[in-house]
Amino acid sequence: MIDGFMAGLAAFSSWQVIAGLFAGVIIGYLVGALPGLSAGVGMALLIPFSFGLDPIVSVVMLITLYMASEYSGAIPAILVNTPGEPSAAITALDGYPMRQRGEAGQALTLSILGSAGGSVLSTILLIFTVSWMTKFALAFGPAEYFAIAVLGLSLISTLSGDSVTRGIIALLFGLLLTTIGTDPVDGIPRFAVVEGFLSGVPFVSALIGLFALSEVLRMLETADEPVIPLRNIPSVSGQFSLIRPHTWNMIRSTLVGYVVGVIPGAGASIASITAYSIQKRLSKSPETFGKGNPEGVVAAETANNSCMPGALAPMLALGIPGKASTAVLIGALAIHGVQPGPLIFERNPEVPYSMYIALLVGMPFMVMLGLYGTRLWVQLTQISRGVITAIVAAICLLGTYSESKDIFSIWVAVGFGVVGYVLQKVRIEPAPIILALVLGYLMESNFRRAMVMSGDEISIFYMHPISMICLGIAIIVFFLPLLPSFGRQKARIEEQIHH
Amino acid sequence: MQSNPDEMRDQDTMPEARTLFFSLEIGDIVIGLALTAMASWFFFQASVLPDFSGTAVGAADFPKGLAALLGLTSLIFAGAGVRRMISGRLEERITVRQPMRVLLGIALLIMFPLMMDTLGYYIAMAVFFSAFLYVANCRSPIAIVLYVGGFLLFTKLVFEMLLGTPLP
Repeated sequence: MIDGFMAGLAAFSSWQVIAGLFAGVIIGYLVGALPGLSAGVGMALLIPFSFGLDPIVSVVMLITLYMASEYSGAIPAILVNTPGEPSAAITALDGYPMRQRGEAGQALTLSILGSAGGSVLSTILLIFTVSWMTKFALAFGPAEYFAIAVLGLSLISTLSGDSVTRGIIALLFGLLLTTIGTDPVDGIPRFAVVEGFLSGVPFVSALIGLFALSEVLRMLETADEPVIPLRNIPSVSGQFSLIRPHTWNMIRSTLVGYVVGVIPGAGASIASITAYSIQKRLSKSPETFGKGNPEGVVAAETANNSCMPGALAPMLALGIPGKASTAVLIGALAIHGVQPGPLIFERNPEVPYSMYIALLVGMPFMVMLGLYGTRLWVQLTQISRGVITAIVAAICLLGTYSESKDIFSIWVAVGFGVVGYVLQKVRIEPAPIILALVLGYLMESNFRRAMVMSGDEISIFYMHPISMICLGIAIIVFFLPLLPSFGRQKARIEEQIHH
Repeated sequence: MQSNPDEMRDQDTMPEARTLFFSLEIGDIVIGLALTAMASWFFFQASVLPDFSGTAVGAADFPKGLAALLGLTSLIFAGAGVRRMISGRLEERITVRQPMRVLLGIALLIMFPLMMDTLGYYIAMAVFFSAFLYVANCRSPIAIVLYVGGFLLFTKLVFEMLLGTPLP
């Protein structure tokens, strides 16, 4: 581990890496503060800019963008009751009433300090968890990898979105698309109706289309939304002592956020609402939650920021993305020839360790920008929605082309953009499709390798304990939504998130 | 740090606009049938794939299994939509606000690769970006010129000069 940190620190001696860190945090603030753009969209848009960069610079930029965007969604949530990120909706429940009481500065200070504390604590948890998970994962064979991919996909399809059937459809649709191109074992071309598909569906184009272009079309619907001028924007207090009474709340919410982050499919919104609900139960004044209780702001913000390092754990240790944002990171690493998974610590130790260092070193910069840049970030809500839409559309097209230097990839992105827009209209979310695009290849290749190794004996999947446990849990996860009590609980959480 | 509640941002008010409404059930049926058709195509295409593997699971089996599952799930999905329509238990409506604007946006996205192929990146992007800004409700000619000029300059500086990405 020490050697790894030394390799990571050595990478940070380069000015490009430091510049990448600053750029990532600033772009993250921009993306997070703009309603309609999520961390995933921001990262997808940033990938094309990172092709020509060193892999470490690229990774540091993406990871700090992810970190900063998760926080900055709280700024418009508190100040104008418009969450920049979906998870910040929970922050707005108490943050906005605090603003109405004239305590916006306190709410913003608590949100940034809670976010910073949660992020640092969960990064420390990440370092130890990944180290443990990697040792465990080194013993995995194809059967275990197949089983883990199935478990991940089952969790993703049931936990993301508000309908299990729609989640499963998205998942199967994405998995079927991964079979386009050359077969991973025999090398036979499959379903490649045009030459461009011989090497499979271009991931970055699909990603930009499903995530960003579909969002562009959605934003076009509300491009005429009037900009309401803001007056008397408060500044933040920057009093670090404000967080002291909330120390236990912060530690508890960090643990909640981190654990939720590790579970594939359960995102920052679920982390926020879980931590918020726990804090409400433990609070001495639960009746003031939703009316401007600072405990609510700290719980929600700490949890959604500690969720992010949690999501990195299965990605780094197993190569399995649990969230759309980590799928984007895997895509970005693949472009630079880096494959996440247990071997990344042997082959490219500087990559995971520079991620850890970026999360820790980037934090003070994020806090400073958050505390003293509030006036600037909230001004972003004043940019016309139509202009943002057009800029994002242009970056999508440019970015798609620059990845492959081929106009075919633009066609793919446009196609996926339209498909993503139509599917979202019937509440089929793009995130499971993206995750299936990453995991499909892993699933098929490992399934077939396991079958070859076992001499076509299907028992390989239930004779190996890890594989058996994972597949068993996956079956339970698929059938759990059929239980009425689970359905009611999930519907209640979804309703709270939508509110 | 203090702020006056009277100076809060007002509740967002979206202007009146043409909006297309249709029931979620119609959407479910259309999407369900479209995905079933897609799954069927994959299934039959997979059936004619050669198998050189000599093992129980060849190149065709994984896509065939997935296509069968997707086809079945999509049919159930569409069937559930039909059942809800017949029983009158309709769920929420799908709304498409400003449908013409969305259609124009899609048309511009489709036109961009065609224009880029024939006119090159800079002219294609200038035409696309200015038209898209107009469609997205940015009507000031000066603002459009500034945004387009700024974006093309940004492209030249960042992509071509800094990142070394050649643009046609």
